[in-house]
Amino acid sequence: MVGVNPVLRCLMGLEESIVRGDSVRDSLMQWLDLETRKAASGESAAALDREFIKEAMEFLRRSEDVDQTGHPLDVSDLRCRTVYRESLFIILSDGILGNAILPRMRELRTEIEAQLELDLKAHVDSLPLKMLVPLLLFMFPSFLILLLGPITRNFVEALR
Amino acid sequence: MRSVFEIIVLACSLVGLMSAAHLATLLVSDRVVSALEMAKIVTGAFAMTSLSLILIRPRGFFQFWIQVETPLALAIGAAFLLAKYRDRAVEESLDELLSRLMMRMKEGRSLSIALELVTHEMRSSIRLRWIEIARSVSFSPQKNESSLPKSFKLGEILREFRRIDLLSRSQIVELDRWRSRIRTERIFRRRSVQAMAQVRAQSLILATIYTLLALFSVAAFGWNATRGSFQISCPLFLAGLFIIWRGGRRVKWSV
Repeated sequence: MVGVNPVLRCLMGLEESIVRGDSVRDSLMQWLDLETRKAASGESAAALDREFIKEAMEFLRRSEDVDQTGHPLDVSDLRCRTVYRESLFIILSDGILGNAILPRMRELRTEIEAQLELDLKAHVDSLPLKMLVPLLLFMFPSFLILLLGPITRNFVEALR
Repeated sequence: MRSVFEIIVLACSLVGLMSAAHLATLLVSDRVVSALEMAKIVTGAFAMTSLSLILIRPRGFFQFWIQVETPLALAIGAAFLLAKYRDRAVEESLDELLSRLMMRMKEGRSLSIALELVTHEMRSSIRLRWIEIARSVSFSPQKNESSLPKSFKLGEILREFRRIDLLSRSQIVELDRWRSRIRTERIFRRRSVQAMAQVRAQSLILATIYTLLALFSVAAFGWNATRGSFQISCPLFLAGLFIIWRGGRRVKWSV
């Protein structure tokens, strides 16, 4: 993955829009519109991005009921893949009801950045072990075959 | 029959050449590649074609066609790669540009004047592109979608500059916020790339060693003796390389 995690991207984009004075729903719609245009322009979206965008669109669709009922959305229905996404949608749901959410969004962003750092560190730490398998099973035998193959062939021909 | 086929191939080549010339003109008119650079690329292509025709006499029509078309196709490909590289370089220089822009604005200049000044200070390979963006921000009479660059990210940069330009106040605050977001994205992108960079560097070194070993084997034992081993070891090596490159990319995100 070379791009930025979509949840972090969404948080940063929403924070900016809300600070400018846009409503929570408008901010989310703008962000989704941007992502859709990015995908349409040919910038390939990872499976993770598409999955999160789907969840966000579902949240947006269901949030239309929030204004009417005045009750926060039951985020568990969205079946978010991670607890961070669920937290984000809970905060946004509160924001749609008119509560101040910027401090909570900033806290969540700090949490997410810390978790992404941990994920990256875990990935880097696991790389040497993961790379050992193709190295031992594929590359090392290929070197042996290349070196020893002609020698073995000459040896067999000499024996004959 | 054969001459009819050759005429059809020639006609298709001519259409291809005209399309390539049109694309090259577009690259120059969009100021992605300067006229001088395009002239150098095309001159280089013609020099390669002439050299190949002098050194290797074509024996038939198709060999002649390949010797003529290949350098031209490579030249157009090189121009597009240069354009792509330039666009990416412009995106990566955004952080630096925003910092300089904010400093100029704090000296008392307006956004459009500061942007004009700062874009002229950027390094030569990306200066033209930035100047084009700066002019689109403030001096374009038709601030509409058609004047946006074709690259999605550059279009977004231009839209954001135009939005901030229209603000009556807090322009520096908005620029600072934008810069903070760019920096966070860049940090995470760089960390992801660095995680893979070490693995890729190791695999490239292994590929180099393998290539040298293959050349040594052919030189020492002859091609006939090495061919069989090569047919088995090469796919095995490439499979290992593929798994390393693909496996290194997949990070398990818990967010």
